Amino acid sequence: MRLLRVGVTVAMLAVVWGAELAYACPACASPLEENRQAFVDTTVFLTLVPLAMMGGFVWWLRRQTRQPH
Amino acid sequence: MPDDTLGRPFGVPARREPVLPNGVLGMLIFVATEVMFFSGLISAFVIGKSNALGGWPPPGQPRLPVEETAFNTAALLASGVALYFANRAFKNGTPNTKRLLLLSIALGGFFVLFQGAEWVALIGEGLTLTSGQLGGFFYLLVGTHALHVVVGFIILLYTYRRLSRGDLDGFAFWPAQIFWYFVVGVWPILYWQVYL
Amino acid sequence: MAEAGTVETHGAHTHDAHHEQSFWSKYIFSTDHKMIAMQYMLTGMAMALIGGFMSYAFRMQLAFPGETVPGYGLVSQGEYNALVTNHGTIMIFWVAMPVLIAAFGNFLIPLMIGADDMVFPRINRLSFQIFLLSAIILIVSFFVPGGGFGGAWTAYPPLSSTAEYSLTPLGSTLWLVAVALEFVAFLLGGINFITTLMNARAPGMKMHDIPMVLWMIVIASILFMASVGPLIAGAVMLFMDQVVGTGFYDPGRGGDPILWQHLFWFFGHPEVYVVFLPAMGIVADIICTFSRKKLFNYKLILYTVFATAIISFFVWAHHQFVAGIDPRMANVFTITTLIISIPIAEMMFLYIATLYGGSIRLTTPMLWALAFIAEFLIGGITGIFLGASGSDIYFHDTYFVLAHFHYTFFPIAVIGFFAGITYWFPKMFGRMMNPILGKIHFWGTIVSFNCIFIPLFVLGIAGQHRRIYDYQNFPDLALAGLQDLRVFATAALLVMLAFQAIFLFNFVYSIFKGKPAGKNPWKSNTLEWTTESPPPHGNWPELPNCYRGPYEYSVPGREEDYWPQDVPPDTAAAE
Repeated sequence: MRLLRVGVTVAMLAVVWGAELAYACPACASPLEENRQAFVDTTVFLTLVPLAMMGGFVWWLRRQTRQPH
Repeated sequence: MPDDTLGRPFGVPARREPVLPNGVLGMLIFVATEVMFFSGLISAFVIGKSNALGGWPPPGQPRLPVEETAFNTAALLASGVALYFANRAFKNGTPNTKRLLLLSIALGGFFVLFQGAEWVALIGEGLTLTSGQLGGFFYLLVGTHALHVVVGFIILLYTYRRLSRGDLDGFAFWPAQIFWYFVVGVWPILYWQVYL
Repeated sequence: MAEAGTVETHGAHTHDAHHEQSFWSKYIFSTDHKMIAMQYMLTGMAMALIGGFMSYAFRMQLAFPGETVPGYGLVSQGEYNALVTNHGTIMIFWVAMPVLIAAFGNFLIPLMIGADDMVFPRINRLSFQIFLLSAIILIVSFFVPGGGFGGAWTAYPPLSSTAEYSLTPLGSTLWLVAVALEFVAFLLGGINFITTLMNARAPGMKMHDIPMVLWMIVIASILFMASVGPLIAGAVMLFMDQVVGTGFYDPGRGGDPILWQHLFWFFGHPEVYVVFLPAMGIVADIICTFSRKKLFNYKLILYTVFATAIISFFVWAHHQFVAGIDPRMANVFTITTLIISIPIAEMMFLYIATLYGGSIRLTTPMLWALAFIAEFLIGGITGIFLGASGSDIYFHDTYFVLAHFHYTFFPIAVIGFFAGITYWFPKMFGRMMNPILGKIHFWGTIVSFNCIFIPLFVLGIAGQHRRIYDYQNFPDLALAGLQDLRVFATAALLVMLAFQAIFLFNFVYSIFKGKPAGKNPWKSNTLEWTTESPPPHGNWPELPNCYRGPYEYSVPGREEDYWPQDVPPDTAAAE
C-alpha cells in the first residue's frame, strides 16, 4: 500500500517533469540550455540560502537553550 | 524553582539571560542580510555567465590575474586568522591582543592596496565597467566586496583605538569580529566564481 | 553599530526617563519608540493621501479619457504612466510597509513585551530619518525634468534601465534611489525588531506568551531581511545600467532583462507576506479581545505562520509565467503557489474558530477585523486562478490581476491599518475615537471598495489590459458596456475617497476632544494596556512581569472575563 502511494507520487512528479516537452509557452524560454539551467540553479540557491541560515540559527538556539547552565 | 500546576514559577519570574548580547545578535542579522545581498550578486553573475555566447571568459578581453589574487586571498585569510587569535588573546587577557589585532588590520589594508594596484593594471589593459559583461560584473562583485573590506577596516581601526585606550569590551569586539569574518569568508567564494 | 546599543533593557531605564525635553528632541530627533512610531504613521498617512490622489487622477482619465481632471488638469500619457507607477510604489513601500510594520512594530513591540524602548534606539531614529529622506526623494522625482518614473512599480528593464525608452532620465534614477534607501531604513528597523523581541522580553514572558501580532511582525521582519538582499543587488545593477552605462540588463550587450525579474520577485513575493502577516496579527489580537475568547490553538497558528514564511520563498516565480522562464520552473512554482493557500486558509479557519461561540462585540476595530477576513478571502480565492500557470497565460497583465492584488493589498494596508489604529488609538493618544463616525466610515469604505474592484474583475475577464492610457483605440475594449463599468468604478473611488475625510476628521478631533480612555478601555490582557494612555517616556514607572499567555479571556472561575498578563497568579487558585 505504502509502495503504491510512493509509486503514484513518483509517477505524478515524472508527469510534471515530462510536461516540459508538451509545454506551449507564449513567449518561449531562452534558447540557451545553459541559461535555463542557470536560472534553475540560482533559484534553488537563492531559496535555500536564507532557509539554511534561519534553520541553522533556530537549531543552534534550541541547542543553546536546552543546555543546562 | 517550585513550579505550580500550570508549569510557571511562583512569585516574581526570574530575569532571563539573553542567549546572545544585543550587539552580536543585531550584527548577525545584518550579516545574514549581507549574505543574501552577495548571494544575489553571485546569482546574477552566474546567469550573466550563462548568457555568454562565445564561452566564458569572453574572448578578446583581458585575463584576470589569477595567481596574484590567490596570493592576495591568502593575505586576507591570514588577516581573519590573526583576528581569531587576537580574540583568543583578548579573552585570556594576554598582551598579544594588540599586536595580533594590528597584524589583522595591516593584512586587511594590504589586501585593499593590492587590489587597487590590480585594478589600475586591468583598467590599463582596457577592462572597464562598460567594456562588456566581464568588466561590468568584475568591478561590480569585486568592488562591492572591496567596499565591505574598507568598512570592516575602519571598524577594526576603531576597535584598535578603543583597545589601546583600554576601554574595549566584548560587546564592541564581537560584532566587529563577526563583520570581519564575514568579509573574509565571502572572498574565497567570490574568488572561485569570478577568477577561476 | 556596536556603540549604539546602549540602553539596557531592564531595570536601568531611569537615566533619561523623567526630565523635560525640548521640542526638537521630543518630536523631531526623538529616540523614543512611540514617537518614532507616530512619525512613521503620520508619514505613511500623508503618503497614502498622495497615493490616493494619484489613483483619483488616473481613474478619472480612464473614465473620461482626454478630459480635464478637476484639481489635477489634463493627464498626459507620460503622466499617466508616472501616476500609475508611483501609486503602486507609494502604496506598497511608503504606506503598507511603514504603517503596518514600522509604525505598529515600533509602537507595540516594546509595550507588549514590557520593555522601556527598543534595544537600539539610535538605530531606530536613523531608520526613520532615512525613510523620511527616501519619501522626500520620491516626491521630488515627480518634479524633475522629464517627470516621474513611469515604467511600472516592478521597473522591468530595459524600460527602466534605458533613458531612451523610459523618457525619464532623472525620474527613474531618483525612483530607484528612493526605493533602495527605503529598504535600508527597514533593514535597520528589522534588526531592531528581531533583537528587541528576542532579548528584551519582560521576566516570565516565554515564547508562547508573546502576543500573536508581535510574532507576525517579527516573522515578517525576518522574511524581509532574508529576501531583500538580492533585490538590493539587482537595484545596484539597475542603477549602474542607468547612470554608469553598464549593460547588465541590456540583451543587445550580452545582458539579461529576465535577470531583474528574477531578483525583483525573489523579494517581491515574500514582500506580500511581509505586509500580510502584520495585518493578520493585528486582526488576531482584535478578534480575541472582542470575542472575549482565547485565540483558538495559539501554537497551531504560530506553526502555520512559520510554514507560510518558509513556503513564501518558493512561490515568487509565479509572477514570471509568461516572461519566458523555464517550463520546469513554471510547473514547480504552480504547485508551490497553490500549496501556500493551505496555511493561509488554515489561519482563516482558526480565526473563525476563535470567533465561534464567543461573545462578540461589534466595535469599530472588530468590524474592520471581520472585514479583513472576508475581503482577503476574495483576494486569496482569485489568486488561485493566477497561480496556475495555464490560466495565468490568459489572465496575466489584465485587470483581473489588478483587482486580485487590490483585494489582497487593500485589506492588508487599509483595512488592517484601520483595524489597528481604531484599536490602539486610545493607547496612542489617551482618548477614544468616536464610534458612530467610525462605523459610518467603515461601511462607506467597505461598500465603495467592493464597488470599485468587482467591476474591474469583470473588465479583466473581458480582456482589458493594465497600464493602458486610453481604451478608445481598442475596438474590443471601447464598447459602451465596458466603459460604463469603468465609470462606475471611478465613481465608487470618488465615494471611497470622500469617506476618508470622515476618518481624518474623527482622527484629528479625537486626538484633542475625544473621550478620555483610561488605561484599559477594551478590557484587554496584553501588557500595553497596563500602563498610562498615552504611555510616558520609559513606558512604565516600574517594568512589569509576565505571568501568563496573552489571550486568557473568559477563564472559568474568575469574576472578570479577562486576566491581564501582569497580574500575579492567585496561589489559591493554582493549587
